[in-house]
Amino acid sequence: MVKYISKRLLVSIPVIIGITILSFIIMKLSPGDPLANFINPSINMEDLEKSRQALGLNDPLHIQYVKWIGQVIRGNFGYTYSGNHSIGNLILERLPNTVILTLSAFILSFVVGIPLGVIGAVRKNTRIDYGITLMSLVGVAIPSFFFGLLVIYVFALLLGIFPSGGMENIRAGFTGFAYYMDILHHLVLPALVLSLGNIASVSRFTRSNMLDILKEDYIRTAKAKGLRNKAIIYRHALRNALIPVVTIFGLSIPFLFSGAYITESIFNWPGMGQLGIRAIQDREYGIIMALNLITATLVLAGNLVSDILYAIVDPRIRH
Amino acid sequence: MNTILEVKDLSVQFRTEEGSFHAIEHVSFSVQEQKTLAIVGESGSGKSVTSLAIMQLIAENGNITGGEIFIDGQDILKLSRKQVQHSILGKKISMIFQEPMTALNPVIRIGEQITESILEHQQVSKQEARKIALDTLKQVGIPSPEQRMKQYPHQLSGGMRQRVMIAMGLVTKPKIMIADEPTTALDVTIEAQILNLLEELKRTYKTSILFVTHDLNIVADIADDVLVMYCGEVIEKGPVVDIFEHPRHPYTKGLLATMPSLDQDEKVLPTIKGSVPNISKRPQGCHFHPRCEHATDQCRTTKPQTYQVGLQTVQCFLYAPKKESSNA
Repeated sequence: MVKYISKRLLVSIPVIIGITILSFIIMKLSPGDPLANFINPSINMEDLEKSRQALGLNDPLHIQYVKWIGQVIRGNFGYTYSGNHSIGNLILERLPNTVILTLSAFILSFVVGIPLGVIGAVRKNTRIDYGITLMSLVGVAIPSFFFGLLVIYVFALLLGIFPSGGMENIRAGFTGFAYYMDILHHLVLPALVLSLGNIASVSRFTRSNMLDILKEDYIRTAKAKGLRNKAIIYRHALRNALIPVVTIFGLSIPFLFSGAYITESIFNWPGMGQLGIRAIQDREYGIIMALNLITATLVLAGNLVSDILYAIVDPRIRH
Repeated sequence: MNTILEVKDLSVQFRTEEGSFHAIEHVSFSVQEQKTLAIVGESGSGKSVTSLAIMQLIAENGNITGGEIFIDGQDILKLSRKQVQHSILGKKISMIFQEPMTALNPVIRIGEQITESILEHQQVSKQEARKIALDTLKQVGIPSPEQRMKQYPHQLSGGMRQRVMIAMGLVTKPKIMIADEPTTALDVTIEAQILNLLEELKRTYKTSILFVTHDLNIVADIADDVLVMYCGEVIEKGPVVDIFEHPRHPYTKGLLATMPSLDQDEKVLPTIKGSVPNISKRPQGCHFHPRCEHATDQCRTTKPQTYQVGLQTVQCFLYAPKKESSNA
């Protein structure tokens, strides 16, 4: 097991290097000038050229890359063009907020999705099953920006039970337990919107796996032993049906992270997504590259986590 | 002698896209205490459906349309699903399946798969259940059972897995065990070991066995009584010696003739011509008539009754009492 994990980690190293090269090149190839924002009638073109020189934008590409990588390794990701802020710090300020949102959506999608899938499979072709299927279909099909506006309209405007955006009520100035409850209160709607698509796919996936497993010989054996339905479904069937679901575990992490871009914008959630969208508007290439790199690393980590979990839950792979 | 299992007039119907068909019709038999009854038949004869019906395990599109199943004197078709789960299955009757490779749950340790049966049906602590499981594993001839309890099915060979299945069936000391072709998936040497084991366990655990097979050699070895099925019907039954020495039904005769034997010097094995008809295309009258060399017009139109010949019962007009008056 340790050998397997270390092997997988070693293989990840060249992949990460590849990712840095790719995200660097893509940014450099994209049109637009990071300094275009500073151009105004009163600016001296020579000054602009000077700051370009100072920022290293005139260096050959490979020198720029090496300089950038040097920064990345130090965990800094360089500095913004305007204001000369450390990008590493900017991200670090916002990362926890995104993690809170993504993690809640992650937990929600499995805590809700798996039971829905099990119910759908056990009550195959009943009204309950059709209801869940319809909900999943809607969940997958509905775009999050629309669903987001819908829940804001219903829960924030009509019913007024949840705030329409933001992460905390600054005016109230809560402290201690009340502060966390306030964040939780703000978290409900964005987490729901972010997890909807994932809930739908997890429940569909669980349902189809359960249906396959319920046809297996060992389920017949369990029935022949006179076990209760609950033991047959949860001990014998679900344990097997969850093995492939674990794959979605890892894969949904990057999916949720990128989904957070849109959700954070809708709900004004002060996370990395919001930062990323502003960076795209301002052509802050450093920030975009950093976010690209983080997301790509997450995909890699997600895959690795999936594989490791797979080995943990399936004894046939473990041994 | 007590009757442990009695099946009366059992019929099972399956709904398919081509319509509804009876997989078995009016099947009746009984198994006595500590006896082995073998059900013999070709594929599609309804022998597996019969055993699954007794265990209430037939597929979703099938249902029992008539008859009674008495286990230890109780008509289980009159019990609720919950009562059957709680007090019959795994407790009074257990089943060993054909494929030991797929019949055990791949992600649950052997120990847990055995003890869960005990914990479900007996009022014992986990430690006691573990002890019973260990003893049973020893009984079925599994070396170092403590270690095996911690293992997963894929770490065991086919023969070992079948022994585990047998142990699983026996832990609750059931009155009767159904074995549905338990050796078909195993090597011949392992097959012999498993059959000997079943024989031995039948005596130690004082249980009856309902043995489903297509292999007549096994039947001769282990059965006390034999039930021959064809197209979902019992066409002949009786004590094993009588059936093997004096088969009555033309089909039984044909089956026995196909058994290769060492002292015969034949180049070509005898066969029964034709094949078992599909469930949707079963012929009228006696289902066997298209393949039978004794078939008469009567066989083509009317289903024969069951006639008693010695200790055997046969479903064939050849054994109908001669009606002297009609000849006159």
